Amino acid sequence: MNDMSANTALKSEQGKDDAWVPSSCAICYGNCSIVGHRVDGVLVKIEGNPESVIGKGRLCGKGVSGIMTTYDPNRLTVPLRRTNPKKGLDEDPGWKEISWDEALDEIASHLRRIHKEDPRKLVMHRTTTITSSRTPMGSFAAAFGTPHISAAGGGLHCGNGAHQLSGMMHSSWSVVPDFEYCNYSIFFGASKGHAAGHASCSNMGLAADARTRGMRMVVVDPMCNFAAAKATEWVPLRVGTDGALALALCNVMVNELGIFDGPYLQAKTNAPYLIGPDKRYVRDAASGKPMVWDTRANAARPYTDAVAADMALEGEFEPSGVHCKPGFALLREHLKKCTPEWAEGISTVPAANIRRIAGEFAREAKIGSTIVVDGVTLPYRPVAAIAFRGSQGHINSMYNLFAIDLLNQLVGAADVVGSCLGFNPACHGFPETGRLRYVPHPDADGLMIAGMWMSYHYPYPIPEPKVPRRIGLQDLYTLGMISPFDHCDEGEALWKKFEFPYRPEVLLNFGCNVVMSIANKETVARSLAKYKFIVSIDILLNETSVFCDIILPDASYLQQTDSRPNFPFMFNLPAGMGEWCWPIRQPVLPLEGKQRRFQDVLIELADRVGICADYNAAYNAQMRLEPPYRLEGDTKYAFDEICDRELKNNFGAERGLEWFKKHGVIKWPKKPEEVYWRAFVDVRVPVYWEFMTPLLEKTVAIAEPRGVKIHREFFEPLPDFLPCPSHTCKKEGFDFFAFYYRDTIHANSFTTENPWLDEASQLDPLSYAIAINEDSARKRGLSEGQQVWLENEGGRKVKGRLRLTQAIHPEGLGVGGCAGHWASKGMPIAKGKGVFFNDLLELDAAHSSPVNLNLDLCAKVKVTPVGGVQ
Amino acid sequence: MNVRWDSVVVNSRFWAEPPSPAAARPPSCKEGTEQISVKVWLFGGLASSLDERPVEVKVLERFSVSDVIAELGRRYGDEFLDRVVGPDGRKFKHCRVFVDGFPADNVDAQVHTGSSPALVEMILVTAIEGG
Repeated sequence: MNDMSANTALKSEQGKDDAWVPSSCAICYGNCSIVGHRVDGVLVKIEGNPESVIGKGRLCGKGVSGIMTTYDPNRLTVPLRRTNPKKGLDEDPGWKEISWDEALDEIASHLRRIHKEDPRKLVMHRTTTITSSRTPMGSFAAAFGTPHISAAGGGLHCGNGAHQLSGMMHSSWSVVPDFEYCNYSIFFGASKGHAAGHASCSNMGLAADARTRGMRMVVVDPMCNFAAAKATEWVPLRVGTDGALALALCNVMVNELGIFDGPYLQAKTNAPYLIGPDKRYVRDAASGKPMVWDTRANAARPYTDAVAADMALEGEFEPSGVHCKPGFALLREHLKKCTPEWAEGISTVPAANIRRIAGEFAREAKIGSTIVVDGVTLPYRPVAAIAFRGSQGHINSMYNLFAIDLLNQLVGAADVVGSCLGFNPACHGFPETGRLRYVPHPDADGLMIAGMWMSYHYPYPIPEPKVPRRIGLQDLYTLGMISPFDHCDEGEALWKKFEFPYRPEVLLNFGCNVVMSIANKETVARSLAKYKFIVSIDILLNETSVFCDIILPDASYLQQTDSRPNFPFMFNLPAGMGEWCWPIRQPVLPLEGKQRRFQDVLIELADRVGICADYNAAYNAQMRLEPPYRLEGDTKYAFDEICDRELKNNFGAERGLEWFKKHGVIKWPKKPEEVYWRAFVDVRVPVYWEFMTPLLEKTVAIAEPRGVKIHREFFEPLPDFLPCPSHTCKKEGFDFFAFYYRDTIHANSFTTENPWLDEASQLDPLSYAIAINEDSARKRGLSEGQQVWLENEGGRKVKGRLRLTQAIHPEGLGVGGCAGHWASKGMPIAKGKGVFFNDLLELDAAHSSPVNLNLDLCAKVKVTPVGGVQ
Repeated sequence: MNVRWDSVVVNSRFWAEPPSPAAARPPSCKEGTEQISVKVWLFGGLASSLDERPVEVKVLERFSVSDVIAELGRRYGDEFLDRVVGPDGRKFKHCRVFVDGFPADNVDAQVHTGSSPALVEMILVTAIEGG
């Protein structure tokens, strides 16, 4: 355990304030550990904290620039109330300063009313940037009794496919190569290890070391930017076709090369489970368990009664007169149609390259090999296929991600040495207290239930569809997490069809700029205008603020306390061997003006609404506080006190908030059985999604009698390539696929206001531009720097300047991040910079997945020079 | 080379379950056939239709969380049960239950012994998504 107490002694000999304060960044959801250098009350520098595992002393450009966000002269310092009752994108709210008491009284009066009428009328949004806001915000929602808490655009764009798949197959929020041991990685639209995403700065170092060591990195992406520029090989493909490519790679491996890890499939997946003609498991009549064909007994037996090595993966059987095949046999047959030539037609990736990459991946997996790590002999599969926002941001996100992870599953490269790893799916707990212990476990069918998850909607088992009562309909579309229906125009019609007994009335927003972060602004604006009352807690006024009734000035992350900025471990702690690490966030600077910390504001609101006891109970549940650290009765605690209790609850009475303020972090070593848990835990994962068949039947039974059509092709047990709406657009002149990418010097939309990051973006030729393939542009008479309109099929348009480059697929148009702010107040530096890509996105059922509600994030567009024909 | 992966890690007890606080308590000397009164605090959405808190239910003195949920179901009906348990009768993971301040994750385990009063707390935690 480290000791930073010498550094954090705040006074020098002369009594001068000169301190390095350990804390946590929150410019992006990576939340890396930092130290802030404060001299005479002024923050002069932010660096990575070398004592912490989260970042390991590294810090990206966003992190070091946090000074400028905190000292932004446009920061909110007082509560504001609108005086103009009319709400709209172009309406000036007429802000007037009010006291905190006035603000809280008014907010509490609205909350008390709906709490009495129907708590579900409250909708809460929270930014993904401050990861740990999930605890205070989620606890408030639980205490109030509303199921409506959403991570809005940040979550809708990245989460429904990627997190679901990672959770179901790896028991983690996301996946990454085991950088220390991996020799061959394929990145499908993922920038992990390249200054973005979960465990951002830690992975940056790990990926760089892996590349130096010789790890081959194949990046599948329509654009050669942050990941591909550092890769061994860039594989450009047509936007949104990753699933087709992955299926062809799988086909080459199992059908052309015959390479797969049979013993892994037998023991760790449902590949040997017998599937009947109804697409369901053949079950044992007595126990109800799925059956396998036991080759030793030459009979069908419950999966628990046969030795894995004796379970058939191939063949046709007829136990009790039911014709059936193992799931793997069906998968193998299914893949045969996915030839490299077929995939080339869809993705434009040459068939020869597909065969070569499949062969390299399969052979490099070293199936059957072992390695010794820290004295423990373990399976060794040094290959990984990972995916994230790029490949998942499409209507077919579920199958795209399923197909990509099949590459890992087929060769047994899942949570073993060198393979595709979840971020810390299993923890044996803090040695001194046994707290924080979790591990995946099997359900009755032997399939894996995650050991820990960040929502009640566990990735598996799939919840039963119900007549929906959540405004996003996630209780009907139960593979969905965040929903487009919260804000789309069809919401009201759907709520009527399902006879909702209430409507959303009050929005409590924490740091989300939903007008920009979800899709086109007009649709989102219409949804916001329907709320009777909106309150936002934020640091700046932005495009969403104009719809708010009250704005409350929040502290910046450098003025906050938080006991769990990096928990759960499956979110942001780097995967692989090393150490477990628990940092805290503590104030480096005091509050200014009338700013208050959002956690304390929520406690104050709970008190005024009369739900303090419920809020305490929710914190007890979320933090698993046990006696003597549980929050009692309706006592109104300060948030610092709650943090202190959580830390003592987990790490012992002597390690409360004051201990962590001095020491910064606590660490303890990981064990091989934790990191490479898959070999030690008796769980299986589904390579044949049998649950899709009953899910379809139940969803259809609820939806279709009420006039809501369910598209069957999304509910098949085996993955397929299903085109995006952009792939089916045949309108003349619409010949580019526009997409946005995460610029690694920006996070969500608010960092474009940061002057250092703005300067960096202006120096970067791509950040504020529309990247277009040079040859494609010249064929159309388009030139470098030319200002153009991008227009989608529905006539929505955005404007920007072209940047000609060879580093993009000939049919792609790449736009950086979420830029193009227009708010007249609050963000003057960001205003007018870059392109507001999301304005090209439709927000409706036609552009949303009928299985997991994923919003399609690409658009087929026409490019037209501003000012007329070129 | 070419080792069956599952032959590598046989008989590892690394992930064997540690004793839970409830199991570590001394068993009651009685057989557990007498009924006791349990105070149940329902929080958040579960409390929205209640007139007063806590509610009192009668269960066998050596009770499990399932016993308490069943008794609450008899009292408050299917609307309550639909929010707490799935069609298979298993408690939802997002329904958190504490008995005498300790989390009760296994609904079928005996969570309280003896005739001393027990306090049960239940709350539905909400979906936290994204990122």
